[in-house]
Amino acid sequence: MQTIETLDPIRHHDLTIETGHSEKFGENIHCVPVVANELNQLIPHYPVCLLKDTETGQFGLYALLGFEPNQNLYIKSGHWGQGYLPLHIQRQPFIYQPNNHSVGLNLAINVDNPRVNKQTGENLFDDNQQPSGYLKNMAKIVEFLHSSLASNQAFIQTLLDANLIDHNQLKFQQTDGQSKKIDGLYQVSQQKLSTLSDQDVVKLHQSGALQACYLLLASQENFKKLINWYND
Amino acid sequence: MNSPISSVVIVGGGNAGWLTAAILASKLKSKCAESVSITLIESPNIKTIGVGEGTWPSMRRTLKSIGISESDFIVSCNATFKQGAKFVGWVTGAKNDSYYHPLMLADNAEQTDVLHAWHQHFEHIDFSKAFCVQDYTCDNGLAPKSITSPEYAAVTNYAYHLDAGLFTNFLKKHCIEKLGVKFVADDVIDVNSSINGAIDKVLTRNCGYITGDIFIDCTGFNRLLINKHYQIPFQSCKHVLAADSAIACQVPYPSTESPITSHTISTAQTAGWIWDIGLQNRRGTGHVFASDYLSDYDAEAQLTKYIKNTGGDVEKCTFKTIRFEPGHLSKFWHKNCLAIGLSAGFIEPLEASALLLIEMSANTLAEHFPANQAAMNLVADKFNQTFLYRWQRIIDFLKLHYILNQRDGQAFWQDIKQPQSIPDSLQANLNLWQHQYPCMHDFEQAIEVFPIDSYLYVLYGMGFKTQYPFKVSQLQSDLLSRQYAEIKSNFSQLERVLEPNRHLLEKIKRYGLQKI
Ligand SMILES: Cc1cc2nc3c(=O)[nH]c(=O)nc-3n(C[C@H](O)[C@H](O)[C@H](O)COP(=O)(O)OP(=O)(O)OC[C@H]3O[C@@H](n4cnc5c(N)ncnc54)[C@H](O)[C@@H]3O)c2cc1C
Repeated sequence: MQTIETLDPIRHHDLTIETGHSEKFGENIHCVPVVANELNQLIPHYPVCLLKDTETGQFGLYALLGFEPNQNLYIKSGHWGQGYLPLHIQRQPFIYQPNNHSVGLNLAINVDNPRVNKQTGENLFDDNQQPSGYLKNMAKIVEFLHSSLASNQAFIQTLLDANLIDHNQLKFQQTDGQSKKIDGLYQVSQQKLSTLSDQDVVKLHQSGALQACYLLLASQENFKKLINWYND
Repeated sequence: MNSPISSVVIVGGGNAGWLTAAILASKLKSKCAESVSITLIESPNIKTIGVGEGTWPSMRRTLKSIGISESDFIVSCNATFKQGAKFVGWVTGAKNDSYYHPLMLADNAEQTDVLHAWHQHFEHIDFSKAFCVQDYTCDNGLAPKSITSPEYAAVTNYAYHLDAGLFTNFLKKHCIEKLGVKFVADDVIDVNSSINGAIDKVLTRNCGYITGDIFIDCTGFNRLLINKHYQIPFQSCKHVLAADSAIACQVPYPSTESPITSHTISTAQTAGWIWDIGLQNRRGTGHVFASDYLSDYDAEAQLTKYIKNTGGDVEKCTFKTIRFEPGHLSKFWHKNCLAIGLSAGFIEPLEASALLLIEMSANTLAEHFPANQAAMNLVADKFNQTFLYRWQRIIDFLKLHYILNQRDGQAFWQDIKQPQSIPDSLQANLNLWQHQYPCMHDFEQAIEVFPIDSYLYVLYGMGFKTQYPFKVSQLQSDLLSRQYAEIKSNFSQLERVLEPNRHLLEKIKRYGLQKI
């Protein structure tokens, strides 16, 4: 559920936002959209793949969190603590909205998000109806995420144009000995990457896409960790 | 004699001409070290036939192989997905009389046991429903794939319905811009042969002579090279399949959101049948009939009635009448001239096999492209043999749709099942199938135009009886029950991922399909 409201110091002055990360905030999801700009931070922790949007068929970058619907293996004893959190998670419950002059920050809020309440958590505004430090920080995250979308799209288009994406079925053994197959994952193809012409390599390098390709490939190591957790 | 074949001249720019050009250009490029030049001459004065909107799944392979993006094709040609054909009224003409010929193969149909179990104990379930999931996807108007399927990949097997005119333009543009086909807009007015009888060059009205090593006659019913010049005799099959006329008509949808049917509907009439093909922006319909049994006036009246009954607005329709002699040439390749498309022959479009034969012909030519003039006759002999066989198979298969009819009291339907009108090859198979179930070995060639499954769908869709003398075991019965249940559960899974035809087409227009 989403009810998006333009953030307003009067209307929303008594709202508080519960922080922390766990299932109760609806974070029991098996994948989360990410952007190329945060690959450096994601790579030590998450396998990052391309997935197709089921509504549009368009590719997006996603960090994989589990292998079943609603399965987030990063949430341990109710908490998602470890390491870097994807921007899409960090920004909750805020959404980018340009030219919101009433607060001077480009923000809207999803008031249906379970974090939103009137008792506990961070205040949005101080007594003078000025944005709190917390809110200013959230605005930075939301704006950074928003400004990263265009370059993310460009990165994916570069991969498509250069024909670098391959379907990548994941197969592993479950504890009961049965093999599990995960379809619908796409990845940069190492083989296609290694057969690029010098000219294309230079072009990819200059756009920053080449480094991102190697980060994506490196992130696949994290599947081992995820599979271990899954089998535990 | 031994100099290599280095230039192909195609006369005619309908879908036969452009498809042949595209297939040759792409295949020869990857095959021959030295390039073969391809020139297509098209009359600016003689129109293309402008009909022919149903295809076979082979079209997917063909389009992919000539370097076309499926999304571009769908958007440019108003194309939609076709998962089979539904034959309405072909058995008795009673109200609920219909059966499907889906494009997916029948599950486990190679096992005679399973066929036998169906025949003995499950005949109350439609044959196609017991053997294939596409009855359900068609009945529900679902697309055969989803927006996350890559281009040309299928969830359930499919072909296309397409706008014939738009398809010609689309292929033409692709051939000229991407495949290096030379295009000459001119009339061919004369043909020049060398001493050995091969065609040397053709004379055009404005561009002078155009020479070539091999000439493809794609001039449609004009048959300019193969018949007017070489006078290769034509074999009529009107005594087998009497339809010789068609009235075609484009019917607008009532609204831009009208559902798009996922299969061709063929509805029997008093002396023929009506095709109904859903494109994105309109339906294409037409009445194919035998003029010996029905006047144009009555044929048009039946079509008008059909259009009205199916929600069409007749006021907005224009009718176009087309005559043809059903049959084919006695030889398609003579000297250095090969006929492809309507020039090679045409029979009522009951199973949309015309474009399929064009694809097959062009592919065969490309794969067995003669190295030089010396090889040409040998390649030609083989080609003629293969394609005479294919035409015979098509005639047999189309005839099969008619001979099991019980439409009593209508002369056309009675005459068409008279034993003397049934080709020997078909009669022999029917005699066999009365005692045992059809199997692969009943056919001669590795690449049949229609797979054995197609025969099964039509035979048992129409209620054919096979008197196989053995008892059905419990095991066999169980096998079939399980299969039937699996098909149903398979469909409930598909229902979750497949959406209505129009929805998917709208999405493809908006987002395109991915190549992978
Ligand atoms: C009623 C009907 C329904 C059909 N339905 C189907 C179907 O559902 N599925 C299917 O696969 N097929 C169907 N077909 C067949 C299909 O339409 C044709 O096979 C296909 O369109 C190819 O036609 P063509 O290119 O051979 O001929 P045409 O489209 O007639 O093209 C002939 C070309 O030759 C050129 N030409 C002629 N004379 C000269 C000259 N002297 N100089 C230069 N150029 C010349 C013309 O300008 C034209 O470009 C149907 C046909 C009919 C009649």
